[in-house]
Amino acid sequence: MDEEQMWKGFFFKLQELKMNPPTEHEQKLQDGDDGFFEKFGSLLRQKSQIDEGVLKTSLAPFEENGSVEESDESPDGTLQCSQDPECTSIDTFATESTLASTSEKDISASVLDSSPVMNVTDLYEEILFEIFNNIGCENNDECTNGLVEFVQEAFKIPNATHVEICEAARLKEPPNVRLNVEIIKAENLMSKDSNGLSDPFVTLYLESNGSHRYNSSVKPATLNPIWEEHFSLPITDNAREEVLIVEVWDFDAAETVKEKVNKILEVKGVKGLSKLMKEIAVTASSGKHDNELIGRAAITLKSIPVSGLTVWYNLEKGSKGRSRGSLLVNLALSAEKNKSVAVQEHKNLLKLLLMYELETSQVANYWWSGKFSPNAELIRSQHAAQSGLTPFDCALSQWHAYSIIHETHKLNFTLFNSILDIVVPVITYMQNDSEDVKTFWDGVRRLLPSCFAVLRKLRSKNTSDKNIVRALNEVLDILKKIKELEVPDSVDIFPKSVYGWLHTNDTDETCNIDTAIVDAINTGTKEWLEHIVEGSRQSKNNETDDEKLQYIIKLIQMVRSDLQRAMEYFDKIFYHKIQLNYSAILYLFYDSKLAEICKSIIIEVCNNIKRLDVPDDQFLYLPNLDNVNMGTTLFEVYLILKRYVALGESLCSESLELGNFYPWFERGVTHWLDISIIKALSRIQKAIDLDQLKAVDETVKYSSSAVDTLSIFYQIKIFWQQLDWPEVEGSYIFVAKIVNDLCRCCIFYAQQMSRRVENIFIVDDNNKNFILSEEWCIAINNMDYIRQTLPSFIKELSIDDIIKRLGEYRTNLEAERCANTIKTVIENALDTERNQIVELIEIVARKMAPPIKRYLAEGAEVLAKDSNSMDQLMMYLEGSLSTLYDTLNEINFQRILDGIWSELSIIMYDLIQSNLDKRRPPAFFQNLNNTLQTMMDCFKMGNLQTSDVKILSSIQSRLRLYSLETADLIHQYYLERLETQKNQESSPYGQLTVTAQFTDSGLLLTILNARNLMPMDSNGTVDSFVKASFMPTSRFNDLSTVKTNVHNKSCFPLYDQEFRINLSEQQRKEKNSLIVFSIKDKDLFGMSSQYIAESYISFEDVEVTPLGEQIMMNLSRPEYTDSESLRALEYRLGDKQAKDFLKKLKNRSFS
Amino acid sequence: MTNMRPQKSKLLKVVILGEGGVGKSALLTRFVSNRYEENNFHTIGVEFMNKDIVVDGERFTLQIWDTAGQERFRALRTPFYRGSDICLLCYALDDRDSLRGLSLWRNEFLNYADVNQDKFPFIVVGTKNDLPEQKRQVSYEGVQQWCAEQKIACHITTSSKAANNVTDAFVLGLRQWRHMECVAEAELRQQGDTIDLTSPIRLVQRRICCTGGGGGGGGEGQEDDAAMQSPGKKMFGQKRNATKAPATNYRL
Repeated sequence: MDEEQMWKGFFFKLQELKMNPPTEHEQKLQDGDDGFFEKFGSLLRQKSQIDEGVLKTSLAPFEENGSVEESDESPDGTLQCSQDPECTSIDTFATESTLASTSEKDISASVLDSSPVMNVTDLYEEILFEIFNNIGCENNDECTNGLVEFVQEAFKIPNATHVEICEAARLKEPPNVRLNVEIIKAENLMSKDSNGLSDPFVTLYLESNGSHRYNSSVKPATLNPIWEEHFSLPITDNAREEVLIVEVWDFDAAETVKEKVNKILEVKGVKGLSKLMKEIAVTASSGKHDNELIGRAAITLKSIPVSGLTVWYNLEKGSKGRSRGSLLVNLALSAEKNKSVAVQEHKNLLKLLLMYELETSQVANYWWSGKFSPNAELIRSQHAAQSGLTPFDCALSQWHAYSIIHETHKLNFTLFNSILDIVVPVITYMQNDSEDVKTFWDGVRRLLPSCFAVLRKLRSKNTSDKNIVRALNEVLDILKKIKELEVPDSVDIFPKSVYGWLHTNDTDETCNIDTAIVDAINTGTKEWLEHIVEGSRQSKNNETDDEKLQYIIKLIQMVRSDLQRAMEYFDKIFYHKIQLNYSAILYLFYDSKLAEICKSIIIEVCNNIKRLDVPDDQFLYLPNLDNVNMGTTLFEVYLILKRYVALGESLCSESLELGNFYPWFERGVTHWLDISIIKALSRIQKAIDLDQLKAVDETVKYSSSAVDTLSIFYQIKIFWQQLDWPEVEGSYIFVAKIVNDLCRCCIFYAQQMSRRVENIFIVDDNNKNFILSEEWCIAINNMDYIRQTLPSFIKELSIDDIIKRLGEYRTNLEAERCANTIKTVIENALDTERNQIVELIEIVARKMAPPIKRYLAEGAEVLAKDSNSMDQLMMYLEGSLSTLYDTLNEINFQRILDGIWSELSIIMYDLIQSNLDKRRPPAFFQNLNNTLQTMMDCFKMGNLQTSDVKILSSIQSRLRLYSLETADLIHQYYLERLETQKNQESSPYGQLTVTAQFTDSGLLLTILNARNLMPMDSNGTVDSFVKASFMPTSRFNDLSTVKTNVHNKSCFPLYDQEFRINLSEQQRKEKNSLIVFSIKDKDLFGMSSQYIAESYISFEDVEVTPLGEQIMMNLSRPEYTDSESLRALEYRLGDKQAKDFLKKLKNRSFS
Repeated sequence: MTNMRPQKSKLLKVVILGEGGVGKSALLTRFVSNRYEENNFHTIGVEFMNKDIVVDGERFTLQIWDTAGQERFRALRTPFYRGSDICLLCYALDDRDSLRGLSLWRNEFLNYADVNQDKFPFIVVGTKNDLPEQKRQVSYEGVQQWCAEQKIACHITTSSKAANNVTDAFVLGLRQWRHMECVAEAELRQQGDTIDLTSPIRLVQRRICCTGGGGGGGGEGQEDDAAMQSPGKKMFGQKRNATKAPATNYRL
């Protein structure tokens, strides 16, 4: 199985595991440590993914998640109280407005008190007057009356006063843009009456509108009348071309004008008044009276300067040059009303109307956007028109009036925004010290706090409430428009009393709208943060570490959702309107505060962690971890912070304080790693205990504990991936520890797995043989599987990447050393585990040894020729090996074969030895040898190691030896001697030279000479002869030995004797037949001869020697050496032949 | 050859401690690879190397953990102390403070390795002994006195640069380890046959390990080789106990 397949298989398994709920097996397994690894690995990941999801979905309709936000609002939806005056006033007002506005009067009073010029009754009169003189309104009493009632109510004028004022108002002239004329006096008028005097009165009219005349009072019987009367003539259009005609008449009538004029006081209503006026005019100008013109003056309006003038005019009539008197007139071309007064009136009117409006229609805060009820609107527009206010004047008045109201009752910002659109273009070009500019900035000063309040209180509304977004939009528009204007030096738009929260209060920096916006945002953020910081913490005293961490999580989640909301709803607006990165400002504000809170808690929690008793590499004991449990909370915090920082990095370009969060967790991570190794070890232990040692399915050959162990690794890997430690050196050290721990797990697994199967000893019922069960193979496979998976698993911890980063961060040398460290750790583990596999395999082989041995011994018994033990052996082996072959991979199969063979050699040695002692006949060993051969043929000996081959072949040769009959064994001995002789360099006994060659009929043997013969006689010479015989004797029974003659007294005898020996073809064929040459010393008496030494030549040697070539042999004596064949002979104590041979040999060698 | 049966040797875990910059890594590099890095470098957290060594005819594999001396690695290096058999405490001869600091290191080690301080083989190793006398701040007597105060039996001075006494330092540690083991064993024998594994005396375990690659070959200096054969020529302190550690029982 190659690695890749293995991985595929494994991941397929994991996939399955993930999809299925934990099986009973897993449940059991995880129960042990409460699912420690899953908690930290996949479950933690899942959880954080879910959290992320919740965070996202919870944001859209904010209220779902908004337990905090809701608690921030009082039940009636008003803003929650806080200490600064701005907020308080909002609150009280809001509350009061809901209480049927009983104190409304006080408010209006207070509002009006603040206006210096007006008092209500004056304004009331003015307004009534305007109502009576409505422009454009139908002359409809009902309408008028409605308005009057409305105004009375709005102004809250008691009836008595009303009547009084009403009368006054009725007396007022209708308004218009006017020529204000004061007829002061006349002098030296021409006398028209009989009494020499005149009753003069003045009539004035505009040339273009001769029918509409204004008459002064009649001054009876005087030529120097003093009128000092004011007239305000409405000038329609073309004012510059208009000519004012002033006529002085002498009054002469039955019913005097004066009488008629006096009637004015009696007429009622506008209708009556205008009738009367017409009457007067007609009376004055038509011919229905006896009045006489004294004289007239025509004044072109062109000639009147803006400042007005007072001039004497000569009165004329016709072309007569006679003096008719002169008239002093004051002329001013202006609105009748003073503009500042009118504006003041307008402001106050607006305030009153609006307050009434707010009161009567119960308008909520931030709602009213400029639309009055029809009556109020009518009155307002009348006043504007009748006071001659320009749209700018109106807008500025509104700006100011509304901003004052806004201080107590919030109006819709849209209103202000639209007013600004009218005001700003004009204001921009005005002098800073003008009254209008002052008014404008006063309004700004009043309005701004509420704008900033909106920024500060963005969180107090649901985002689903479209109004908050709209309000923000408007507010930002307002701020944007205002900040483009230059603030006059004299205006302090940020009084400290109101803006306690500005950071510039404590510094020398100057405050402007921009900084105030940021400050407002920050203040709001601060308030909110303070609220949640306090609100989410239950009791500071008895908090457990976990609760503290939960608190951080909660905090960050809330902050995150705040940011999320900011990004989703407000960022675009802020950026679009004022190029401000709202959420970045928020984030930066949170950053340092959160860092402070989190750091202290996390470090405290980490310091509280108690160190663990980690087992050393021996795993002699596993500490009990029942009461050592580490919540995942710390890592949830870690992950949440990590994500939070990632968010920050995408938002802000600044370096963040929280960016340095990870060192706080160092101890925590170290601790987790400590726990995880202990938990991993105990879980591995448990997994092995639970393992049935059955392949998990048909496709693989490992069992559950291997999968379980890899799952632990997998979970550790997930944990590590999630941890994703940002700092490279730390991550190297952690990963080194993890690698080391994984390696230890592997070794531990192998150890425990070995121990587990060592106890499995199944025997079959009949023969009590050890049965090589699949469990053993699975165990070996498991170990091997884990071992092979380890490197690729470790690779997934992205060590390469860490090393690469180390190289960039430090030097390549240092990175290389780190890489080597990891490599060495892994290699060590792999080696150790491999050795454990090999050990286990050896154990298996050893367990298989007894049956093999028994079968071998039984099969070799001579007496039991019909026994089937050979077959049984082969069946046993085959059975075991096929299990092995089916289950093990090739390498391990080969290993186990090696193991079996090395075990076999031990068995063989044992068998040989014990059976030699039992003096088994040669046939026994023959059988054994045959069996061995069969086995070797069967089980692919080609793959054996050379060392094993050597051992086996030596066993075979011994077996062969022991299976020989005694004669053959003796011959074997001589063959050994021949070998020894050939290897001899020199000999103390001398050398013998012969020639030998086969002929058709036999052998032609010539014994040539001997050299350096060892002296045997006392004179230092030898009387030697050579005797040649053939061995083994059984083959050459028909042959007699041949002898040379004796050569006396020579150590270099020259025999040169030729022998022809007849050999059958059969005899000649036996290549290992030997010719033995014995040299003997003929003794003095010729009775016996003394043995000197001997030498050998094999038939094979004879055959290969070229024709006629001499063969020189070293002479030697048989020694009782440590020869295999001699030893074999020695075991045959009951064999006479062997006994005799050995006796003879002993005699010779010790002679 | 995947199925070759490797040679068996005893496995010992060695930890090298000491202030940053005294030359721990240089010592290790010289010992394992017989090299000397002229370039100054820092150890990041932990380093690990294997070295096979034969001492008095016995084969050992030393698994050596080299630690970073910098304080900021503290939380990260301590997990590796566990299971140590030998601890080399290193100071530099030209740095008085590095010797003084050793007691802190020793305490840190004892604290995290959880061993019995009287029965654990500490070796005090002075580095940079190639420096001339006038540059040294630590005298022989000073070390001896410090060792006596701390009840540490062995100390030695070395030079990684000049390849002097480097292997000796490790061999010294090994012998001290063996000595301690014998003492502990003798004590156990006195206590009787039953061996209580949970008893506070921590026996240094015997391990059988087989190492594959790793321990770089590299010829050792002549004098270093000599140190492996004959005991104590350059050693201070205790005599070696001759009792043999139990042999491994491998066949063939």
